[in-house]
Amino acid sequence: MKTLILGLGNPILSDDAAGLEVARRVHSLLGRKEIDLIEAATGGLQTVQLLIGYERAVIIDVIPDREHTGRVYRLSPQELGDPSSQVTHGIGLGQAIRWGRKIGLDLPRTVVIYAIAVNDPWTFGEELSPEMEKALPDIVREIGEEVAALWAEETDA
Amino acid sequence: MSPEQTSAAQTKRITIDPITRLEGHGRIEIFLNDEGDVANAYFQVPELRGFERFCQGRPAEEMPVITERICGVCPEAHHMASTKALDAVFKVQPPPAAIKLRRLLYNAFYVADHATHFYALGGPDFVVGPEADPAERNILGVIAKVGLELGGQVLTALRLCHEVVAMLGGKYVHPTCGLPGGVSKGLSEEERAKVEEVATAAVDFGKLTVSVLNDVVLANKDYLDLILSDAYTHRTYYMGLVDENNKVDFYDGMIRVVDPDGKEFAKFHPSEYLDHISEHVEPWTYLKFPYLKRIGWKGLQDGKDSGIYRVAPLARLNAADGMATPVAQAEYERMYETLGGKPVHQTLATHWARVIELVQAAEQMLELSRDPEITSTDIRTIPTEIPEEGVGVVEAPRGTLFHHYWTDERGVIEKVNLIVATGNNHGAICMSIKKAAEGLIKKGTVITEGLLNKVEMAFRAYDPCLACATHSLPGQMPIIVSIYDSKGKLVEELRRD
Repeated sequence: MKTLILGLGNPILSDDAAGLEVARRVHSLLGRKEIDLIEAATGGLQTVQLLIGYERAVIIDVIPDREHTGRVYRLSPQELGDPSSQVTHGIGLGQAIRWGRKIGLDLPRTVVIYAIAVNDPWTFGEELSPEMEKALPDIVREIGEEVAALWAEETDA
Repeated sequence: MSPEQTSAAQTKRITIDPITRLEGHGRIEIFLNDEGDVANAYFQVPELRGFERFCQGRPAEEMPVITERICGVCPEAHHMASTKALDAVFKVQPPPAAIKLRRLLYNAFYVADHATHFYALGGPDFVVGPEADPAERNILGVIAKVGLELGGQVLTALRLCHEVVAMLGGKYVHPTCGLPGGVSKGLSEEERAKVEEVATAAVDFGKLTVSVLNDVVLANKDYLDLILSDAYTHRTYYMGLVDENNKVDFYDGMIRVVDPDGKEFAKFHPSEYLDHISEHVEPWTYLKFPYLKRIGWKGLQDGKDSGIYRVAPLARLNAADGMATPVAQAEYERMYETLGGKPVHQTLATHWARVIELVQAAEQMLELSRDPEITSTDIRTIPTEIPEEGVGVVEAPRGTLFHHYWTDERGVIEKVNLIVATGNNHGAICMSIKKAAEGLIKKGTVITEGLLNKVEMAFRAYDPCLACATHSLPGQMPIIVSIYDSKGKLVEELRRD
């Protein structure tokens, strides 16, 4: 099954890069040839184009939530809200996926989104914060195990 | 988004407030007087520091791939301005084919970026309606109105143009091709043929977009009245890059400024920008206010005596004598004829100007894809001079973008100055918000979501990039609109979830 792990984040904005690093490590942990890894720093309209042609996808991104650094939230595209109107550029991923499905794009049947709570996605820097570095191994294990189990269920079904 | 009404009609404050993954947000604050009319309106963005420091001490050649990371929306514009600044820092002239390849990439980016704004951001206000249910006032609502087929064509156009950017730039969305003196990658004949195919489709898509604009927006008298209404009008100076014939040029040329009567006020080489532009600082916002030095800072007011100038599509068209390609030129003439001649001061006409520019970008893309020199392998001039200081300027889709670097003799960055499009428009954005608020919010007005959306439309026409403006965020910064009463108490606020 054509599968994508997509890490999202800005590589020079400290913990904003955590999604990229976790995606890399989860990809390596799962170690399967049929799984593609893509790293990107894109908004909804561009991100949805990266999903075209895959049967399933896991997207790993971050949310700022200092008090819960390291916590992982699992979301479906339906759970991503639509901003009620667009004030700056781009549209959200949820809306972009809904648009893509509506116009018949070949999008994955299942899209799972992991949002990792991070400490500091605001400071320019190429290193993760120490709090984030510390939390990383557990996050990778948690997401890796969960994804493996989800995919096993899909295969069984 | 639902503004809460309070009983204290005479004491109001409105806030439009977004909640997204980004901590930083823009803020529109509207203050009412005792009578309930608008006393003042402010547009604020937070500053997240550290960008200049992050750049210091790095080899200048890294700047095109660093600066494009400050914005998730127009990385190509930063990449190009930065690459041009490197040409200047290293005192090197790229070969003609390298310049053509840069222009080709840049035009493909323009088509995608302008199409995104027209269909997904500005479009919903006009296609679905400014007072439509916010749940429908988005790209899905646009598709519902104009049809699934067009929705598919929009996404195909975006995808193909992004593919061309990736082909020429070496990477999806974030190019890596810019080098001092040229580009790192040429175009094979096979790739050229593909680009020509995409460009041909882009020209058709541009023409299609013109018909959508005509049929859905301009044919609706209410929308045309809205565009022409005084609430969205400011007489200001306009700035934009022009070619040797004073035609709109996105990539290079001289910076031309026209006055509110449309007469040329200044025309200068980008490297001389500091002789013409100064920046004013206000205590209530971190973002500075660039203004024309020769006129001076006279506060947030329009007119010939105020140094505030505007950039972005409408400003570019006002500052030029025409478009560089035939179909775009015909549309340019039609716009000015319809709106009463040059310059056009109505901010919402920016959307029309954006469509005209989309057409020019597509036509130039096609022209370049058929240029025999585009497949040349002579794409780099190796620098031999000692690096020093350089300015690179392009027209970002949102307006004139300045990159200015100072290096030591090894080419290591010592100082960086960026003036981004939204920075250039800062004064005008503040004025536009205030004027729209004044025109729409009067004593006793019931504040509805639709009404506040109309205030936002004044802001949205500029397609402001708060990420670029603060040199800091990956793109989609939300906005809050607050309304305060005469005693400073917050009485209304728009939030987004």
